[in-house]
Amino acid sequence: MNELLDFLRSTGFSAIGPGEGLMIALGLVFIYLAVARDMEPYELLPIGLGVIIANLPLTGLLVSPLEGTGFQESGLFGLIFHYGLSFWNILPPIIFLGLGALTDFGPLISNPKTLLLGAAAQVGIFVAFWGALATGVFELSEAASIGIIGGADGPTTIFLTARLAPEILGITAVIAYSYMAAVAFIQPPLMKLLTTKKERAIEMAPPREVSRLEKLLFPTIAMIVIILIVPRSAPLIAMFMIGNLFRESGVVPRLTSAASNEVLNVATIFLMLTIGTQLSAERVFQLDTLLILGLGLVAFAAGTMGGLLFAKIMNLFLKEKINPLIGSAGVSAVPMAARISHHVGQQSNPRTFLLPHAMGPNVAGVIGSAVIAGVFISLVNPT
Amino acid sequence: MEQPDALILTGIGIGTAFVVLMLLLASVFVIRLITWLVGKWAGRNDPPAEDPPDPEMRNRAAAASAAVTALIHSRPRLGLTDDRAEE
Repeated sequence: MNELLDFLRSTGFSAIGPGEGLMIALGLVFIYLAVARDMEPYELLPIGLGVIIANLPLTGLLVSPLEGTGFQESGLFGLIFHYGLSFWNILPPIIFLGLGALTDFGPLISNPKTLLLGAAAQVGIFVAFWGALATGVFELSEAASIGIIGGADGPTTIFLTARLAPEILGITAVIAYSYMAAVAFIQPPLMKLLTTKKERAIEMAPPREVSRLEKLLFPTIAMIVIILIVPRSAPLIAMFMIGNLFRESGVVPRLTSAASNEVLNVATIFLMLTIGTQLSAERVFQLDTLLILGLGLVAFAAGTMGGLLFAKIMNLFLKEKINPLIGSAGVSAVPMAARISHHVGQQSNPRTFLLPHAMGPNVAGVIGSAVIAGVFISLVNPT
Repeated sequence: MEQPDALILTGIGIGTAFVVLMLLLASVFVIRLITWLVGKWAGRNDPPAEDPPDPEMRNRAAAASAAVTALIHSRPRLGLTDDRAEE
């Protein structure tokens, strides 16, 4: 009889509470959004599965090697979190290798002034950073990690938070990816609010053809310049540019294919599952989480507005006007933000074709947020 | 090490992002110049263009190509992977 009682006590039913139940329901919502609504499926599906696993009690899957004291006591996701993120932090740079192999710098090289829009849209990071400090709840390192959500770049958010404030990693990562999935709802109202129909209808000349030599020189020079200025951004920037040089060299198609397919996919599986497992009930049901959720939205909105308004300011000085809608793509969220610029532009003028133009600030936004992450890592002490 | 002042951190962060992207902007123009110079140099070192082909030779080549195409299309089942051809 005692054995039976012991067995019943060892089952998950004996330890599951309402918090865990709610989190499992949240995991199912993520899975639903990914499968039925096709919202960021590569992120939300594994994150949703991770959330469910993390909230099933007594599994031991999340025990970190720092907590596990005996033979094989560390849990699978505790190990991946420890070595992949909090201790070595290697998964985000590996994702950047794949992203670099998928990126085309052509639109940016053909219209380099769009680089400035990528810088302007980073204002969202600092609006959320100051917002987080103003609450009085967060320390400087946590505020920096919350602010970087405004960079709208998942791997950069994870890279910085894993370094500065690993205790809020799961929350910031999920919020960053959730808002990235929701840019289609966040950005268009702001875009319409801050621009006139005439501005949205501006047609831009097709970008010029960029030579192979330019596409080879740009990532090489960019990598050297950025890493010399912000050495702590090297893990992200170097991997991004290496992936891009694989692609543009044209001589290592197998490496390009591996970086943009197998390597990226394997890293995505482990990164997203592990992020999901960080969303346990005791971490999520706190005031901090609601604050981060609100601040993340502020960050996205401020970044969008920063890019749009800077494009309008640039138009005061430019002879050949740019469509200010491409400014909102500076928040990163590649390529969704660029697609939204294009769609909103087409609603005002079906002849305007903004997608290639918006890819310039979109890619510049990735570089800008990685640079700011490097600055934060250089200057802010971890918690 | 003490935590930096938030205002200074903001200034350095946004300033660095702008400086880096301005430098990349400048580098694009340098790259364009290099590409132009390389193109000019390559153009000067290119071998002289060959003489234009003889019009009669060109017509013969076109006729041969058309004949081969017509032949292939008139006997579509005699391709290399055609089972009956192997029989």
